[in-house]
Amino acid sequence: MLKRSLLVAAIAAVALVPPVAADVPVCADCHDEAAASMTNQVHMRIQPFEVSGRQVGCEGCHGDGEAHMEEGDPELIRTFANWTPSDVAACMDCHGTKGLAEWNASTHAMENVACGSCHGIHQAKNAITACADCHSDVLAQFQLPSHHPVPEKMMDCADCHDPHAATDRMLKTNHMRPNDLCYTCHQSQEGPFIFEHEPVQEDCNLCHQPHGTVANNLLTANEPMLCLQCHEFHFHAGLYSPEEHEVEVGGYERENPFGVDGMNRSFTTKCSTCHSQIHGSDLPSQSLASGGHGLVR
Amino acid sequence: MKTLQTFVLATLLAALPIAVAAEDGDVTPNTTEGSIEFGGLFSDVDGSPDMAAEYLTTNEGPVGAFKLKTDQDWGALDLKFKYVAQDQNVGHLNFDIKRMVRSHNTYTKMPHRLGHDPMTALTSVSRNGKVVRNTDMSPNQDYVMNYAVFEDRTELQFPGFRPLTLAVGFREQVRNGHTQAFTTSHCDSCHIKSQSHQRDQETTDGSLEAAVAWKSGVIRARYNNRKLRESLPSVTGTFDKNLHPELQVPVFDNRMQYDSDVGVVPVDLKPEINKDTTRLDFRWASKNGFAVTANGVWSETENRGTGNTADYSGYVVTAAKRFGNHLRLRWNGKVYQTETNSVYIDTIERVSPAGPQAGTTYYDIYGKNYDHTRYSVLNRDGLKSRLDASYRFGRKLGTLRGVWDYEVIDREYYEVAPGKKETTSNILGVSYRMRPAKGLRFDAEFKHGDVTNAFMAVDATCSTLVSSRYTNPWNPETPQYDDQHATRIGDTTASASSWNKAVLALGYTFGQSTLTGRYVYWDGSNSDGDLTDWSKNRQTATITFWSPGGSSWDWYLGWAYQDMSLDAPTCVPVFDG
Repeated sequence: MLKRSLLVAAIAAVALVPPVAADVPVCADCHDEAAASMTNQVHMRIQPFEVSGRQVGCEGCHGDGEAHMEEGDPELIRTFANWTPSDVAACMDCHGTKGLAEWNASTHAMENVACGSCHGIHQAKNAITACADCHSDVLAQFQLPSHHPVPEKMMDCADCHDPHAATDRMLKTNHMRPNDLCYTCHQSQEGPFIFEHEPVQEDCNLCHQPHGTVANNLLTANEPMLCLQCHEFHFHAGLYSPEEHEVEVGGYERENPFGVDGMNRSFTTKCSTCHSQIHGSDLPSQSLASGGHGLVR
Repeated sequence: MKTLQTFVLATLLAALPIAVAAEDGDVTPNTTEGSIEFGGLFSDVDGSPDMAAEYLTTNEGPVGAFKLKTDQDWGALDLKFKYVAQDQNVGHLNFDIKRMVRSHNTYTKMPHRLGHDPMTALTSVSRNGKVVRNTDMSPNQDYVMNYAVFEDRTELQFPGFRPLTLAVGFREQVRNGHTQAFTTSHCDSCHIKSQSHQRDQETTDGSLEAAVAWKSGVIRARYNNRKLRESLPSVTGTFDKNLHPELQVPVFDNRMQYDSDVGVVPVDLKPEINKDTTRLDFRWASKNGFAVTANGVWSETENRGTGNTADYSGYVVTAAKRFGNHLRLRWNGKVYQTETNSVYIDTIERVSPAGPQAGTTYYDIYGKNYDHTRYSVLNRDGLKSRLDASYRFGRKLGTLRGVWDYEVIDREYYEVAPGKKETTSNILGVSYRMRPAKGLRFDAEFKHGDVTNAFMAVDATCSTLVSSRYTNPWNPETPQYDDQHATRIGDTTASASSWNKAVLALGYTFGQSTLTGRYVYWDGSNSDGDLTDWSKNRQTATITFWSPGGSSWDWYLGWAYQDMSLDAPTCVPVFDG
């Protein structure tokens, strides 16, 4: 019963509220090109109730246009030509109460980046290149062999970054740790695991560079070199390799297919082939000495 | 490995405009416009598809795109969908009903090719002919995970109570396909087996949000529940009969010391999890450029397989003040705590079936008990502070900014230096960005970081106890593997204790095209630990040109140069087991 009443009330509320006409036709008499670019644009459909009763339509952003209309003087209206702090404040007047509440405390604000630096208010800018205008090195990193699918247009910068936020590197961390952002898509790596890999809990960026790398899997260096920054070789990686391709051990002929080249080739060994649960595991590795901590299963 | 990709997309289009033109000057009319596009997709991949087309379909066939946008008295609708192949398509649906119901929806589907490791590198390694064996049980399997994500956010706001905005969010991520699962076993040597692991993983996020806004501020509360489900079980691995590496006789029936008597155990197990996150936000801004934000976040993650939980609680306060049109100051502070439960590891003491120690356990022979408690590295208290100031000289003269970042991580258990669990970092930076003429940009930045007790693995390498022969499980006189671990003296890291970064960038925008050049220099080192001498130097130069060719396509030309040197000494070779 309660659900039905709420539904009826919601439908009635939707049906009974008339749309508010924007003040465009008057402005369009002179600014027909600008008006045309705003056709179907969300700014022209915003209703006063969405913005705490503020003015909507052209004057919602450009301010009272009466004097400008009478005199024809562009100085008498806000044009956003130079994107002064007061122009930014005009945007934040509405957007500050919406999703951009942290803008004034954001790094971009500190850098005096203005709304118009990234946004085309009348005509939207390309989402990726709006960022790349300043962060071109990052766009170039996405062209490296291993990358998140940004060049493929399956992701864009805003999937991980909120350019209006006051978080570290403007990451969408939900004000938690940087790892929590990664776990949004890579939940399997979060755990908590019984057997941990310490740097995973510390910071994903210790091993990964999220924009793009030469090494596979967005690793900052290829395996085994990455792992060898903290770990040492096992016995089977990097020891003496005899010249013979068949060697006898314990009365059995063993294959040594690469001969003396074996050690060099061992540098192409991927540690994660055996230590496959590199992000952590709930299953113990079968070795007493490691305390089950080998992350091999 | 050849990684050549030829990818041809012939998009011939008969765009069928179905627009109902608006009258001149009327920007809020009842309008409907749209287009339908058809084309064909032909692809040819030479080499490794996972390298050449990691996220792209290699299917061939028709492609199509559909756009519809309408603005009516009841509201507006904006629908876009592009079908490239069965495993690659994207869609957007935004609509509102009289602006009281506002909904944003996206759908993305793509393949993620993971590659097939043939494990040939494993056969290269040997010690006196001791070779790591490998068996590929699924040699012809293509390892691809199909990824699809649907996201929705719908807001409700009514004129009768305009300060209140309610929102619901839903996100569903599906990943299914096959991954390569590895099993490590021992017979007389390590034996690595590879098999296909069919996966069907689904993560759902549901969120509720309420925000109350007034002229100068907003309070928002948000609750999010995440569930990760793994519909298919883990694969299993069978451990080989263990043979002595030289004598080739059985050592034990099996060496399963934890959770199996028969040698068949689950491997490649992925946990299912629940995660609940609650967040409170407060923001207030005055007319004179003063703004305060405060946030509190509480989260609990539960591993449903083990019941282990990880908790997070954090509080953030930011205060920013603009003085006139030139000076800005900002301070950001954050304290947080993460905690997870400790776990008792109970080992199974096997009885040796053969040899001189038959009938005895490892403990009987060596007096060593490997039962222990795992204390998590996650447990920590953190404090972060950022103080920065910027001065805007003018529109063309640019902005100068200085920043000081301070962070302390106080871990409960994990040591980052002998006896030390606390890392303190200070980062000082200065940047200057200028827009001297329309379309022209110049940026310069320098940062210096200094870290006390950077993240490090203490006593991780270089055992002082090196045996010339295999560890002999029948001879208590020979050093055992953990004896060698216990005598390691080398501290290792991949984190800098001191680093510098410099950036120089130029950009020029003309029309809608942009030309940029950027040089980044990074140099860091760490020699704080015993035998630790880690350093890295990276230089990156990029020149890019980007130009939008039309409403639905653009082109990008880039040249990137990267030079990186890494110095990370390792102890070679150490028979560490």
